[in-house]
Amino acid sequence: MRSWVLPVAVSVAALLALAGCPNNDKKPKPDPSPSAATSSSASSLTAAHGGDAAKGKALVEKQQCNRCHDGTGFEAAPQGKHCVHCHTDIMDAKFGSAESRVKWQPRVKDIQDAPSLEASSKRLGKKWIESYLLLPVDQRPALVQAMPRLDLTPEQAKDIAAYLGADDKDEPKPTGDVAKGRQLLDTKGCGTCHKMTGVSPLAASPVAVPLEPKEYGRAMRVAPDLRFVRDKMAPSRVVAWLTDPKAVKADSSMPKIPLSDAEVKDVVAYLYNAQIEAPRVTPPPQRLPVLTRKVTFEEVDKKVFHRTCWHCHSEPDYAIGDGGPGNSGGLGFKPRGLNLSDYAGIAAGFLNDKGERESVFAKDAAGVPRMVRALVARHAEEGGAPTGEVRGMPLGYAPLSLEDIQLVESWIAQGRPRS
Amino acid sequence: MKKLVASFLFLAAFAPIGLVAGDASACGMSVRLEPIPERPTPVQEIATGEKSLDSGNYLAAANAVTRTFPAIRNATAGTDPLQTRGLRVLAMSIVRSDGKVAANGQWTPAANLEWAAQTLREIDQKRPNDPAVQADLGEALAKITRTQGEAYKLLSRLADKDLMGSPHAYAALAQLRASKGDEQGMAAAVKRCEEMTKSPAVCKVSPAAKPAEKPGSVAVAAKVAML
Repeated sequence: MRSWVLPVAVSVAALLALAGCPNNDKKPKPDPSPSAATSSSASSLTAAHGGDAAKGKALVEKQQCNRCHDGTGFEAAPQGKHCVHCHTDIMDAKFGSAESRVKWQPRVKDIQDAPSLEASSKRLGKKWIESYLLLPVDQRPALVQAMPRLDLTPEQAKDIAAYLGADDKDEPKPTGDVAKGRQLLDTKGCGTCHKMTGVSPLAASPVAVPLEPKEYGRAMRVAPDLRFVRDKMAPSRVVAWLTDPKAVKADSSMPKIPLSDAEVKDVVAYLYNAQIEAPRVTPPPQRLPVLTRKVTFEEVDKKVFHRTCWHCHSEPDYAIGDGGPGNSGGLGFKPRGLNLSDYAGIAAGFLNDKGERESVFAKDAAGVPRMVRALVARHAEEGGAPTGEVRGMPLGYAPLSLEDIQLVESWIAQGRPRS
Repeated sequence: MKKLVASFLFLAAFAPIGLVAGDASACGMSVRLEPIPERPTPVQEIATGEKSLDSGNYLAAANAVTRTFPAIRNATAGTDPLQTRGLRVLAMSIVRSDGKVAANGQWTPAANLEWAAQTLREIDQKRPNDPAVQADLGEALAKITRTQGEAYKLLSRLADKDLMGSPHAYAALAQLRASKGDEQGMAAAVKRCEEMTKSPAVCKVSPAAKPAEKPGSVAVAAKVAML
């Protein structure tokens, strides 16, 4: 294991303390995919997609999808670079001292999972993958982390979709018994792991098959919101999936639920035909007013920078490791040279697209510092809104609380006092 | 007699054990290891040096570096990350002590400042476009009369772009502005310095103050000549 994992672990811990517990109460999110709001039929999918799978494969490598996901078609990233494996090792006491693990484990326990991309080309439609990559919308209500918005052009997203996705099928709308399908979802234990936002809550009945506890825990964490099934998968693929998930995807946590062929059709009919409420559009939150009390760097560093940001934005010569993707590049992002681990580093700003240094405190036309814009943008992303050139931070994690953003903004407004 | 022989054999057989046990604090078959005082690791030493530098204890900072890298004066920046950090700590300790730290018969304060400036230039070359390094370099250049113009440009540019997080660099800029009669600019730099320092004394600027190093006093400028 590479030695940079240590700070990674420390700060992931911090990072995820920020993220908090799995959010099981998330409200429905606006879905950019074409069918979400109107319960569209699978027939809206067409076979024409385009995209260059070879280029897509190269992009999957460049974007380092294998740092989080299995099943990318590439070897898993080395241990020191693999977020999920490192967190798992901390939880399994395979990494770090006992003393360190006491600090780390509570913070990483909720970030040991990322969905596997294994057999994605047997499951997920290309068009959905393409739209999802460009504007990821949280698919897994119980998973703390979410797919980050990568630095991709629409053409690149199309290429990746061509590599990872299944051909979109023009299939008729499923014709099973919708009411029965819903009843099955309620009685076979589906609601124990899954949510289906936009419909009345699924009953959390006992799962129809026994599950090993560890696998059960993972299944609960990665279970996707079923509202998106109709957008992601062609009906025939859902039938195959429900009939025997592991025959489609060997590493799936989804158990084989005892269902007759007719029952499978009923469940599929419900998933495709149930009336789903349009997602509630969540406007970006209003920032809290700047604090009048003094805010020092020590306070902001402790509560925000060192707790959350430092994990991906540190200085390679000072942290063990490569400084993280937010400094030396990674996950497809170019090196930005942003070091949020100390006062001077934060002041030193980041490398913009022209390769010039730019202050993270530079204000936009509305007078909002760049750093604050990024923190607010994460809230907007969670609400399903595009945020333009400013990517929401922390990348792929729960947004900072408004109080923490207020703290950062107050510190900046007060001239960034050190003490 | 037999008893005597048996006793002798018994003692002969177990005496070494008793001896060893006494020396090594053995307890039955277990040997209790005496705690050996741990020496700080090189990383810890340099981190201590950085803390000492931040808190204004320049001698302690320099000592932490030379303990870890006795031949640091011969080191080349960028070859080893930890050593490069050490070079920075030593260089900045020298700069902030006006060349006095690590001075001796050979290393006059002026020669020390030259070494520090050259070292920081090397670090800047290895890590281009890093305002934190540039601020350090600007601070060092401000201490040497012939490079004050360069320091002024460098520090002004960083300040204009709001990329400078070093109170010492702002203090150096304030000093340079004062020497140019730019009272307003000096006050602005002092204000920024005061906002970001834990020790406001760092930001004190005397408009009449002259740089520590006198022109022409540098006997040997090139780093290599000072080895």
